Amino acid sequence: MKILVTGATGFLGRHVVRALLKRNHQVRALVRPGTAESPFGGDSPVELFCSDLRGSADLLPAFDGVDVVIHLAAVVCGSDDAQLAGTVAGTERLLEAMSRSTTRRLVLASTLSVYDWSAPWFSLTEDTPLESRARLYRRDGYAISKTWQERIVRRVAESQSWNLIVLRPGFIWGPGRAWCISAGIDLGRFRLINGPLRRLPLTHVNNCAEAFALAAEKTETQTSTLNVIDTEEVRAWRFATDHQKASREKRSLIPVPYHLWICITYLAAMTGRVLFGINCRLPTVLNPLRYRAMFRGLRFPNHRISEQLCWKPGLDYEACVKQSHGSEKNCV
Amino acid sequence: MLNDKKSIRALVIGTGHIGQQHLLALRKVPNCTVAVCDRSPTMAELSADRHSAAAWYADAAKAFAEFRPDVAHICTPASSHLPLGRLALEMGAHAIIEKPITENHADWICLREAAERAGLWLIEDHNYAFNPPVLQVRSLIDSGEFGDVVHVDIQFALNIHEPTGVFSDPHLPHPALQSPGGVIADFLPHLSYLAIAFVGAATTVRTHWHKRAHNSPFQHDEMRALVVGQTGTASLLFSSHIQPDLFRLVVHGTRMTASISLFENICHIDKARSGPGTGTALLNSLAAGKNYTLGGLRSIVAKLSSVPVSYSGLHTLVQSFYQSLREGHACPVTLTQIDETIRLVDALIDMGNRI
Repeated sequence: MKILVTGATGFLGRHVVRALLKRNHQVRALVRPGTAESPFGGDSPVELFCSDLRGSADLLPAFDGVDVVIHLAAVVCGSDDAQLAGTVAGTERLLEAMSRSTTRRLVLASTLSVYDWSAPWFSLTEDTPLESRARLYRRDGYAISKTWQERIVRRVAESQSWNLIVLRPGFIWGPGRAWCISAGIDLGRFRLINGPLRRLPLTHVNNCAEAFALAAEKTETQTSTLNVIDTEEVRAWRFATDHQKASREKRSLIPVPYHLWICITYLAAMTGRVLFGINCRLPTVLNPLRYRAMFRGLRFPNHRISEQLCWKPGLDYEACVKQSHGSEKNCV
Repeated sequence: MLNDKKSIRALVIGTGHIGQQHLLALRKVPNCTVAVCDRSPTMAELSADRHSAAAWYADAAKAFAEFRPDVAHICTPASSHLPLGRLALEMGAHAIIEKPITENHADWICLREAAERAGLWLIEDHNYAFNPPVLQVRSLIDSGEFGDVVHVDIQFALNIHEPTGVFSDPHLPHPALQSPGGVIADFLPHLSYLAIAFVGAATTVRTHWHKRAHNSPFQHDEMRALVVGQTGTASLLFSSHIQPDLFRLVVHGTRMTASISLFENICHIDKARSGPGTGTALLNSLAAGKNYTLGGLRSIVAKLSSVPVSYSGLHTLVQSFYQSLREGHACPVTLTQIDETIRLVDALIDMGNRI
């Protein structure tokens, strides 16, 4: 199978490319102009297509002979406006070119951030509703851009009768990104572990990349949405202590009860609303919507992806910790 | 003048960072119906949804034909200002255009003539001239309390070399890189209209441009200028190396000196006082302490509110524009002010290294 991967040189992208090569697929990586000549190693069989999704060059040639597109590219840093323009307008251009090509299958990397985190009682699943319009624009640029990215991909996929699989990974971690921001907040030499007993929606980058490779191979599904979360339940406190041990960091861990802090965020939001009006802008730690989406303790079942893609995380948690804190070479 | 009770129709073209600021500012304009236009249909739809706009378009001509706006806010790259500005004026809409209003003086003349022919308002966004501390100092000058303005120092420092910043992104070159004067020219209108606001139109200009970071993609990354105005002098500085980033305006008068931090909207005024010099210095220092403390607190409050501090002037300008339009008052930015600004910007760029 010939697979076009956007965002191929990113944290997840590099691992997805490796997973696809391991499964004997041909890979064409869409990389930005000026990317190092062989970002995947000197003798890598990966074909490079140099273009920027935010630019104006025609992307149609990138789809030449391509069976499936794995769309991972997104702008995840910078201002909210930069994230929106990069992720949403970039995806729009990709879809426009794809709709002129013969490629009919697309795998999109979305995120758990698109869900309404206040909706579920116990478990966050694929059936959890998405963030409502009224509250979406009070979330961060990442949540807004990924929600709109999914929205336009679905629209075009439906109108063109494409085969679409939307994967919503949890917090992706691995070598080079061993800490998960959802576990806690760094404050100087202290690390606040918000909701120390809650389960983290983690997926190790190798396991996650495997899920993308399986999704690319899935030919019979018309449209499917699947959360990608590793099976083993890991609590925030355990993750933080394991990280401390493995990385030899010397921060003091401070447990912060989730329910106590969420009350503080509500108080801050109410005060802000009274003093500064409905559009009061609070930082994430004092914004109830953002705080909840980051730190709410829920169950994160992965039955649907296991059933539909026969995905089973290849690495257990212990192995993930070892690899995440080891060298990049050992991780595949 | 528009009927006070009539709903004003505003069209915002371009939904990038500055377009979003215009949309935020329009929320505070009473009885205003907004539409959004962007080359990207999704970005237009998203912005319309985010700001509860009445309609969205991906084609400017269609937007003017169907929405029939009274005012067009043109927030696109500078190269598109002339065609879009002309279109707005031909379709009977007043135009608020982001800086730089045109890429050169000839284009400006075309646009100005089109506005005069149509009898419509045309303004360039001189937002920092409407920041509260600037308005405060101008009011002190108008009342005579400040004395005569002798000199202004305008310093703008911004790290344009930041690898993740919009100016250094090698994959998506900023449109300003292609213009004469490069990225620095993008900021010159701010420096120029502020200088003109305090010392009048420029009569003599001397500049020094240079490149400090030799491996950067910019033609120049530093600029100094001395401007002789009709009523005083101004020194202008653009630096991409001075840290932290700042936008500072110091107005030196015959009775007072005002120091304004335009990114934080903090203002401190040193007054000439009667009595011994040491007493004056002490009282001014105490006043400075109080002003910076209060200014810092106000800055925190502003950061929590919906209006970003550095764009507070834009909000004031937009509201003032619509209010003047409804009530038949004078336009808050005149064609002469824009003309003088463009002439000064052109002089700063054309002058090269002559100081």
